[in-house]
Amino acid sequence: MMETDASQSFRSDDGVYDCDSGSEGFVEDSLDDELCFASGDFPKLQFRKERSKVRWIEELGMAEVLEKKGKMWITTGISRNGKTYCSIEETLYLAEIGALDVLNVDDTPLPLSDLYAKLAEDREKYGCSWESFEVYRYLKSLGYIVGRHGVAWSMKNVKNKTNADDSVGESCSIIDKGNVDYTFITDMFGNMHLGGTRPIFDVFPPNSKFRKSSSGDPSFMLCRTSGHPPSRQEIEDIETCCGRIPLKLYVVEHGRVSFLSFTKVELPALP
Amino acid sequence: MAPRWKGKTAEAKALAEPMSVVVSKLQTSLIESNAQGLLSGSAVLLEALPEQTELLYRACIGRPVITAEKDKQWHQLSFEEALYLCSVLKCINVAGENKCAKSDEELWHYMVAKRVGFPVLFKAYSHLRRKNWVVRAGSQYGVDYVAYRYHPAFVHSEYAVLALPDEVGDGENARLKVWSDFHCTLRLCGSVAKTLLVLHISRNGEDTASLSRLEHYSVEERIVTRWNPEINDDDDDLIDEDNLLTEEDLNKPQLSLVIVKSESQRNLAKIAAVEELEMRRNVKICVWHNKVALGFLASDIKAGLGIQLINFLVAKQMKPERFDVRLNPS
Repeated sequence: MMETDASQSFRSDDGVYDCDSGSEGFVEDSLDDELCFASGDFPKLQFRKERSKVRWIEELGMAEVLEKKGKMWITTGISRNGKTYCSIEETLYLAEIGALDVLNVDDTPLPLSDLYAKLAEDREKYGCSWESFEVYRYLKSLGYIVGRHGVAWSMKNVKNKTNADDSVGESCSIIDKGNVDYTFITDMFGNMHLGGTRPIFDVFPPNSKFRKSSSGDPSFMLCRTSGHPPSRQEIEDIETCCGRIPLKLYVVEHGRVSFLSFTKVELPALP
Repeated sequence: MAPRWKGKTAEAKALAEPMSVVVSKLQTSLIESNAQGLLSGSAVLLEALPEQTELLYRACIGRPVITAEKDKQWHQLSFEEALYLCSVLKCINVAGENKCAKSDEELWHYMVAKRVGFPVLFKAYSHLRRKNWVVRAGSQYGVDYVAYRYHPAFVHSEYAVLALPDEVGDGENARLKVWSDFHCTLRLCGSVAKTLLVLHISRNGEDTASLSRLEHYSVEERIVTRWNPEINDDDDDLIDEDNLLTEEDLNKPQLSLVIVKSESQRNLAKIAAVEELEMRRNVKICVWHNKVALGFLASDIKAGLGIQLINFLVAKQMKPERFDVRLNPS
C-alpha cells in the first residue's frame, strides 16, 4: 500500500515537472508515453481484419503491391504503369500496424525482423535509416501525407510538377516481370550525393481529398541532418535545390523527433 | 509571433512618436551640448542634461547611474551604445584617461581588444538599431541581444538575437554548434515568448583592423523555430457550425454528443473554446482526428461508451465529419 502510494506520487511529480513545458510552440512532452512505460502498460495497436499484400523486390528496394485493402493506399505507394510500389518506410509502417502481409519473391512471408534489418543495412541502401523511419511513422500517425522527396506519386501529369530538383524523368518504365526495367528507382536515391543534410521526405498536410495524380506541391520538404547542426552554407545549398518549397529539418535523439525551420527573413525597418 | 504590446494604447503611442524621431532628437541635443563620454573599463560614462536624460530613457540607450549629484545625471553606456552614438550618429565624443577625445578608430581598437567578438556583435547591434529596433543586452535570456519593436515600457521584446560570424575566430561566438544548444535556446525562447533571430554575419574577407571595414560585412537574418506537427496552424475550422446542434435540438431535454471533425491534432486554445461552447449549450463534444477520437470533454459520458460509438462509426465506414450524433445516456 505504502509502495503504491509512493510510486504514484513519484509519477505524478514527474507529470508536474514535465507539464511546465506545455507552452505553445513546443511539442508537448510525451508525458503519456512515459507514464505508459512506468506502468508497464504498452499501448497496443488494434487488430486489423483486412490486410493488404505486397511482395518485396530486393533489386528494387521496394515492395510491389499485390492486394489493396483499405483507404491507406490513397496516400501510400507510388503508381507506375498501373502498379503500385511502396518504399521500405511505407512497407514497414503498414507492416508494423498489422495492415500488411509482406511476401518474399517465392511467396514465403517476410517477417518484421527482416524488414527492420533492412533499415540497418549499410549506407542506407534503401534510402531510409531507422531515424528517418521514426520520423515517417510519427508524421503518418498524425495524418500527414508523406512521400519520398522528389519521387512523383504517379507518372500522370508529372509535367505539372515544378520542383526545381525533380529528377523523375519520362523514361521510367516497368515492363513485364522477368524483364523489369527499374530505372525509376535510381531516381529515388538520386540525391544521396548531397551528403549529411539532404531532403528526404515531401510532406503534405492531412487531406482527405488527396490524389496521387494531382498531389500539388508539398507543404514542406523534410531534411535529414547529420550529427551536427548544418552550417548556413549547407542550409543555403539545400534551399537552392528545393526552390520555393519551404524546408524543415528533423533531429532524432533517443527516439524523440524535433522539427526545426530556418527561415530567411527581413526585419522591417521601423518608423 | 505577433508583437505583444503592453496595453491597448501602447501601439498608438508608439506610432505617434516613432523611435527614429526620438533618436534624432537625442542626436540633435547631444550634438548641441557637445557631449563627451568617459571611457572607463568596459563602459562609457556620459553626463547628461535633464532633457537628454529623458531622451536617453525614451530611446532606451544606456542606464542611469544613481549619484548624489543634484543637477547632473550620469549614464552608463555599453560599448555598442557608445560606439553607435559616436561613429554612426556622430553625436558624442569619447575620451580616455587623458581626457582627450579618441577618434572612432582608436575607440574601435580599444573595444575590439577589450571584448572578444566585438566586431560581429557591433555589426549586429548597429544593423538592428539602424532599422530603429530597440536593442538591449540579452544575457537574461542567454542570447546576445533582445530586440524590441519600441520602448520596452510599451512592448515585450520580440526577438532573442544571436549574432553568429560565418567563420568562427578564436573565442568568438560559437553558439548553435550542437543540437543540445538548439534545443536549449529554442526551449528558453519559447517559454518567454520570443522568436530566435539568428544574424549570420559574413566578414566577406574583410579583417577587423578598422571600423571602416565594418560596412563591408553583410548580415543575413534567419528566424529559427521549432515546428510542432501536433498543432496544425492552418486548421481554423475545428468547430464546424453545421455539425453543431440546432436550437430545436437544444430544446430537447437530452444529453447530446456532437462529433467535430478535425484534420489536425487538438489545439489547446481551441479546445478551451469548445469547452466554453459545451458549457453554454449543454452538449457533449468529441474531437476527431483521422478516425481517432481525441477526447470526450464531458466527464459524464463514460469513455467506453464513446469508444464503442466510434468503433461503430468506423466499422460502418461512415465519414466522421458528416456526423451529428445524439445519444441518450440512459
